[in-house]
Amino acid sequence: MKKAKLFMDTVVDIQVVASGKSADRAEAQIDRAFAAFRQVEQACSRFSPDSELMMACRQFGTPVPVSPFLFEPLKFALEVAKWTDGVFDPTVGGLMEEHGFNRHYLTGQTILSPSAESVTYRDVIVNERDRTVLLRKPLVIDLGAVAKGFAIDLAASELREFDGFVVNAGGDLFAGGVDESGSDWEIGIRHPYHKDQIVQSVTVSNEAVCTSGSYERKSAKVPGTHHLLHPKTRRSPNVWISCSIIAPFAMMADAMATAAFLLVENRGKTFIEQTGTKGILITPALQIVTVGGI
Amino acid sequence: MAKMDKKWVALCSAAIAAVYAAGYVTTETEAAPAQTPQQYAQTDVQSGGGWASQADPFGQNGQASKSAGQPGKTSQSKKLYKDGTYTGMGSNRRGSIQVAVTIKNDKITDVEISHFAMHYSESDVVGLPGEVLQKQSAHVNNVSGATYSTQAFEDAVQDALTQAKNA
Amino acid sequence: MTAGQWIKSPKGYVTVALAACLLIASIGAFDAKGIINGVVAVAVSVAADIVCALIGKRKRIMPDGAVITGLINALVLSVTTSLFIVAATCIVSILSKHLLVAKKKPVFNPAAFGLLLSVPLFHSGQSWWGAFGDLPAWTIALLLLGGYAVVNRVNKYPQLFAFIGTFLFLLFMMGCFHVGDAADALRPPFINAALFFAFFMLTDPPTSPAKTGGQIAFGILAAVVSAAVYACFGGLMYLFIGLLAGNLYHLLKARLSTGKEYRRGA
Repeated sequence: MKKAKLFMDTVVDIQVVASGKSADRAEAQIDRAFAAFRQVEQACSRFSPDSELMMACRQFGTPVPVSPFLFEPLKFALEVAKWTDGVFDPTVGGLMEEHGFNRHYLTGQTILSPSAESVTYRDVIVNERDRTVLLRKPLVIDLGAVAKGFAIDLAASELREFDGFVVNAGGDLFAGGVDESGSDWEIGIRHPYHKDQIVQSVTVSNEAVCTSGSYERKSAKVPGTHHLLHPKTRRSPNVWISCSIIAPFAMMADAMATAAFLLVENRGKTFIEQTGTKGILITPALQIVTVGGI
Repeated sequence: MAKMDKKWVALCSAAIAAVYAAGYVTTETEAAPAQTPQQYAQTDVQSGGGWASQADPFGQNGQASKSAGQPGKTSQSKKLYKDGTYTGMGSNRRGSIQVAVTIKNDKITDVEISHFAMHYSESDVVGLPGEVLQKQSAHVNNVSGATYSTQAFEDAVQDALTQAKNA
Repeated sequence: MTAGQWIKSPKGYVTVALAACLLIASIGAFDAKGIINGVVAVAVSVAADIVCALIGKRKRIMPDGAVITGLINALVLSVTTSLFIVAATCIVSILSKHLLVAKKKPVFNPAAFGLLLSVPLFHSGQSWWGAFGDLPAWTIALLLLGGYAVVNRVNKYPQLFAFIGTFLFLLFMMGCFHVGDAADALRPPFINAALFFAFFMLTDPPTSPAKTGGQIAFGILAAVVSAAVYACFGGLMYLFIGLLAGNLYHLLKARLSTGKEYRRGA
């Protein structure tokens, strides 16, 4: 069974292998899985002014209590920021808006928010006990690198009971269990230059595969840049053209793929090794580098 | 030379219109699935925009809130859209795409892709992996990194919104 | 031939009608991209036609047919098609017109041939935007208006009615027996495509018969093939395939009748 909906500016496609379970049951669980996307989007969207995230961003200087749908991915993003020493930084939202990534995909409305000149992830303080967020400066948080992964993980947890399932949100996916023929899922890695081709495929089961590539979402405003921006150089790095990460959680794979993309060559590789995940990194010259034993 | 009398032209045209109408009617149910006007009772009138009414103890909200002005979100007693699920068709350059848009309290809560017409090669439609994969391997049904643009759906969503609009 | 005479010729009628389609569809879509495509398509078609005529040492170099071919191609190919593909499709069309000939006349409708090949060759997207598929349904009335004027001028009513009548009847039957996706074909933008096709492509005088009997057979054959292709495969190629089948029938029939009573419609 298969269903597709639009969330987070992409096509979310959920497939379930439901042998021995009723179709109604599968459909109900698929709807619940989609609901997870809706909740995360409503909490974390940078594009709607009334999302929990944007509401919190407008109240700097004071701790704002937030729901777990925003708190968890934010906390995780800040963790990754710490590991990568700020190369991965969720406060690039203002910079993203400047680069023209500020249009809501459904309503077409654009958003422009005040943001201090120089901001880093250290200007965001989360309080785990009270589940509050405190911004020290006006800034825009961008959870683009984690929220989708988080939603995929939540959706996946609704589908655990089935023999197999895939939650595919625009090329970032979690494959659970086995496919229709009872074998592990085979996941292709897209060719960076030809959207109709794959460069490699991997077999996974109960793992997420997420890819960050510079081939999509080029900036319409600043030439030579795309949606992955380095917070310090304010440019897009071009060491890799595509980074795919295989990890037990989509949020992890999603964030790591972005981080690996932004880190310089060797640091990216060590980072993947240190976290015990696997990666397939591709250079603009189409050299494929695999990390973590694939 | 096959010159036809005006009368015959008119008669033929009428006959053809009748055949067309018959075909149109027979396929009516297939073409318009579930245009469900599930109107929820409009009891909850939208109060002032979510953020505008929020407490602002430090008074720092002033300049921030201005930047996020969004039409329809200001204090309005009338909603922009009727609640319910609306079917929108986008049948522009790439084939017809049908979406079911659910609206609640002026917010799009759900956009389901209910139908892709197969008249155009699917990879043209949105670069859907389906076609992609046949070229590669029959086993690979999912591709990581194969993002596709939601642009193709914009028209269909707009179409649904037009239907949902409160007069 | 003066401009005034030319306007009143069948080719003049078709050109004016197609140019009007181009303008209306572009204005309706607030998009000048289609006009650019149109200009490029016409320019490339005319250039290719002149080159072919020079190589073939034709006495009469009159690329007015190429203008029509270019316009049709531009109106069918999606406005987002790259200019390279628009140009390439036009070149294929014009080449077919000059290379695939019988008795100095093109066998296949050049536009249909080019557009059909352009799908496998260039993966072109065809939206039939010039048939107002993206505009409100009432614009079909404009299409009918222009279409009738053209068909009247070229005296192709029997062919038009045979085609549309058969085609719609077959779709109706498909709708009754739930074969294929008749519902789509009867609605915009596909019905627009079928009408545009029937008015402006099917009726092309050099590639279709002039006599009433021949016209009816041609129309029915094209409709049957189109509907069959549509029922079996869907897609967007059904109209072209139907027309090319009709063209072939026309060729064979002309061959058999030794051409003695064969006269051009225009």
